[in-house]
Amino acid sequence: MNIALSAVIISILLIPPIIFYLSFYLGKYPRAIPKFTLFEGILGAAVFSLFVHALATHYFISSEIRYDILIKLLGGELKDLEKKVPDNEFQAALSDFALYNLCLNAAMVVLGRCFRQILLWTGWHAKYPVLNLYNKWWYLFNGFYNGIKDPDLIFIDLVVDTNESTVIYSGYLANFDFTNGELERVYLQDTLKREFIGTGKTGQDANEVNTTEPYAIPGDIFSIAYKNILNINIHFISFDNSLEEIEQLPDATTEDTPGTGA
Amino acid sequence: MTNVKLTSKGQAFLAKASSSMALAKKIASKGSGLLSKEGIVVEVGGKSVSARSFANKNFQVK
Repeated sequence: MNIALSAVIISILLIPPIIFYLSFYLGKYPRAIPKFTLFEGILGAAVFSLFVHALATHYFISSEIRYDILIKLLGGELKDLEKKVPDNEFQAALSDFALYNLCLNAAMVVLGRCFRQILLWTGWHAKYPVLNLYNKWWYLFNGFYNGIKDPDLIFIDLVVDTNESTVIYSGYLANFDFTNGELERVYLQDTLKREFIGTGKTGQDANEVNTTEPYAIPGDIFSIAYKNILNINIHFISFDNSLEEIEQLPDATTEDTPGTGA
Repeated sequence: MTNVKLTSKGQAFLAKASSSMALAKKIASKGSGLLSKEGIVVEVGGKSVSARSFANKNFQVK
C-alpha cells in the first residue's frame, strides 16, 4: 500500500515532461514516435522532471514547501505522519500540491505549443533533423530535402516488381498516407504504366532506362501500397507559364493528344 | 484533404485533364528533359505549357 502511494506520487511528478512532449509533437503529418523501453522512458522523464520541478519550485513558488510531508510519502513512512502533521496542514499541503501540478501541466501544454510554433516560424524544423516536426516522407515529397520551395506539381515514377515483369507507374502525386511516420500508400493522378526492359550496358548508356511506351491507366486516382514499391523517383515540377495561361489550356479528355511524345 | 502541398498553378493544371495527361506522357517518355535548362514543352490545342524540374540544379549545388 505504501509502495503504491509512492509510485502514484512519483508518476504525478513525472507527468510534466511527457505532457510537454505530447503538446510539442501533436499535429498533422507526425514523425515516428521514438521507440523507448519502459525503463528508458521513465529515466528520460525523470531527468527532465528534475529540471522542471527545480525551476518551478525555485522561481514560481513563494510559499513554504512541505518537503517533510513529501519525503515521508515518497519513502512510505506513514506510521507517525498523522501525529506529526495535523489534518488541516495535510489538507492544505495536498491542495497546494494539486494546484501546483495543475498549473505546471497547463504551462507545459502552452510551452510545448509555443516551442512548436517557433520552429514553424523560423523554419528550423526543416533545417535540423533533430527538430523535425513532420515525418521524413512529408519533407521528401514537399521538396525540403532538395531545398525546393513550393513546386507547382510533383511527378513520381514508382518501380514495382510483379510476378511477370518489372513495371514503372508514373503520375502526379495526389496524396500519400502514412502510419507512425512510415509511408503506407501513394495516390497518383493521370497515371501511366510502362514495362521496364533494362538499362544501358556501358558508359553514359548505363544511366539510361529502357522501357516500353507508357500508356494511360483509366480512372481518376491510382493507389498503390508502399510495400509493393521497389523505389521512387521524384520530379519537382515548375511551370514557366502564368496561372492565367494555365487556366486557358484545354481540359477536354482526348485519347491521343498531339505533341505528347507518347 | 491531401498531404501534398501544390501551388494554385499546379492545382489549375491538374484540373485540365488532357493537358495534364499530355505532360505526364511526355515526362514518362522523356523525363530527363525536365532537368535541362529548357525543360519540356507540351503543346495542347494550340497552346503550349513549359515545365521544368529544379532537382538538377539543387543536386549540383550539393
